[in-house]
Amino acid sequence: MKPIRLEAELLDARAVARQMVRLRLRVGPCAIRARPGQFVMLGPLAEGMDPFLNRPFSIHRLEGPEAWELLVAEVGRGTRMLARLEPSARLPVLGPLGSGFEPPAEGELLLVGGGAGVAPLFFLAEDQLARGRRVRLFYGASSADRLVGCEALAARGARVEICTDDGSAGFGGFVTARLEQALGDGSDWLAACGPEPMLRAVTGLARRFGLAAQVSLENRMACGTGACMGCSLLLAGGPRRVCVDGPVFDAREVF
Amino acid sequence: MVDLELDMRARIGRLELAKPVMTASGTFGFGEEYRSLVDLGALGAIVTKGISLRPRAGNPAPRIAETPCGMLNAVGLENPGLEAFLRDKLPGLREMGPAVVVNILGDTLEDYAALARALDGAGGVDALEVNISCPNVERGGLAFGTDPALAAEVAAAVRESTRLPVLVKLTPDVTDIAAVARAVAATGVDGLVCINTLRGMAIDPLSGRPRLGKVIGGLSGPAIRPVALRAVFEVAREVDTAVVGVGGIGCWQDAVEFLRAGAVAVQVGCATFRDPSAAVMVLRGLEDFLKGLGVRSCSQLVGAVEL
Repeated sequence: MKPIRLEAELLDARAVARQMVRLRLRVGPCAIRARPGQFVMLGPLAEGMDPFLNRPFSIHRLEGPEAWELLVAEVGRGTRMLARLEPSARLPVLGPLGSGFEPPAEGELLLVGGGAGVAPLFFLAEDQLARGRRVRLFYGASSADRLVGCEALAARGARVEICTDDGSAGFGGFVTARLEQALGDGSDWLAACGPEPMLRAVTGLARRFGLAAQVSLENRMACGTGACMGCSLLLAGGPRRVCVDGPVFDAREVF
Repeated sequence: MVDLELDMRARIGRLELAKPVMTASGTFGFGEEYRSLVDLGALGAIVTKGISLRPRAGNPAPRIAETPCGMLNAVGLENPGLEAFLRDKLPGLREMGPAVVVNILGDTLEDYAALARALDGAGGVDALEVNISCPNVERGGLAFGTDPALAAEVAAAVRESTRLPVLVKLTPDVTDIAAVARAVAATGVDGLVCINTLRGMAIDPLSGRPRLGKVIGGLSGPAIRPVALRAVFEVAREVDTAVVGVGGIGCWQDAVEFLRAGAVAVQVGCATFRDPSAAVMVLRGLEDFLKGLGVRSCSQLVGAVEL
């Protein structure tokens, strides 16, 4: 669907992990027309002109027929302001924006998420589980207290492989190390979202094991609509705007 | 008693706009990006992203950084080039309703002249905006805009290469903007657009890395509004050529300030990133304000500052 701009109602802002807040926004019937991988621009965040720019967030989950959940990592002033919003606050939203994931019609789906980058993979996982697909999520975080929503996703039928850098939960080490052990079991598609070094490593593994891979990229954005060229990346095939040419790209196009 | 309709027309030399509000170059793409979100027909003009003869890939990421009440950008004139613009973008722009003003940028005088010639014959272009003030490219751009004689040379080269109305967008990064304005105005162009971004930078204090890939970029937003307003005021007092105000305009009150300072029309720039309909809201608010004042035309407000 074409993006629309609307005034969303904040249903709640709940701390779900250390410095991670989940926003539930009632946006109306357009909620169910978003595709996994798409994102929204939130803001203006304040009445005045500071912070000046709106903020991009991928859609983390559908919550009922009329609400989106967003996962907000508190990394700066803007995200701290979002985390402290009171329920029933009104928040302008522009969306849904950008491209979505395009999983194949058959086979187990491997999803690889790092940190807050796991956000859009929940939407993808739940969407695919509801269609009867097998989903396996490799979820990396710095420590156990930064993990979000693992039990709920497992309860819906996903296999969730937790990896923590400090070994405080699940596999101790990078998510890519755990992924490497598991590859070669017949899966032929994966989707990844997270820090750039992780995406680069995941792409390398996909190449080595002959998997098709899609990666969801992050970048600073001003407009979210393709107008400002602020989020363009200079890829081998030319400049590509993360907001409208992505955020989901074929991994081979990027790395 | 007859309720006379408010006359919102703005005359910028030979360019007449139905409304005095445009979108600023680089903040509205080619219009298509906002077609489904904004009542485009309400606007006076859409000013396109800057077009060069050949495609430009632009600068490495990060290209934007938020700053207090504004933003830095170092996009570097990423654009599809003249040929693709004429083929893929212009047909759509023609259908949108507002006047089409094409922003052009060259590395050399010959580039500017060639762009002007090609757009003259394209049909559906209402005016050119000559960019001699972009801080984000190595050659051309700002190098032309800071020297009155060079600025005038570019303006004259464009003026002689097209029958279209010509606007020249000036940089505030000079000691005496009025001197540049005088030199450019003397070439007989239709309008002077004040101002482009100011050169600025930001550094992440922890990593020590510049926040822009290109290190230095252009500052825009409400943070630069007083600078833009001063430039409009100084230039409008100095030349008879029409002045268009741009820089941090986000609401109708801002537009009124610029009209009072001497601008005949305004452009709304990065306020569009906060609210896609910012330019339309500026226009509607301005219309309501003028009706409340009881004036017959928008032009009555131009230069109406009590000194």
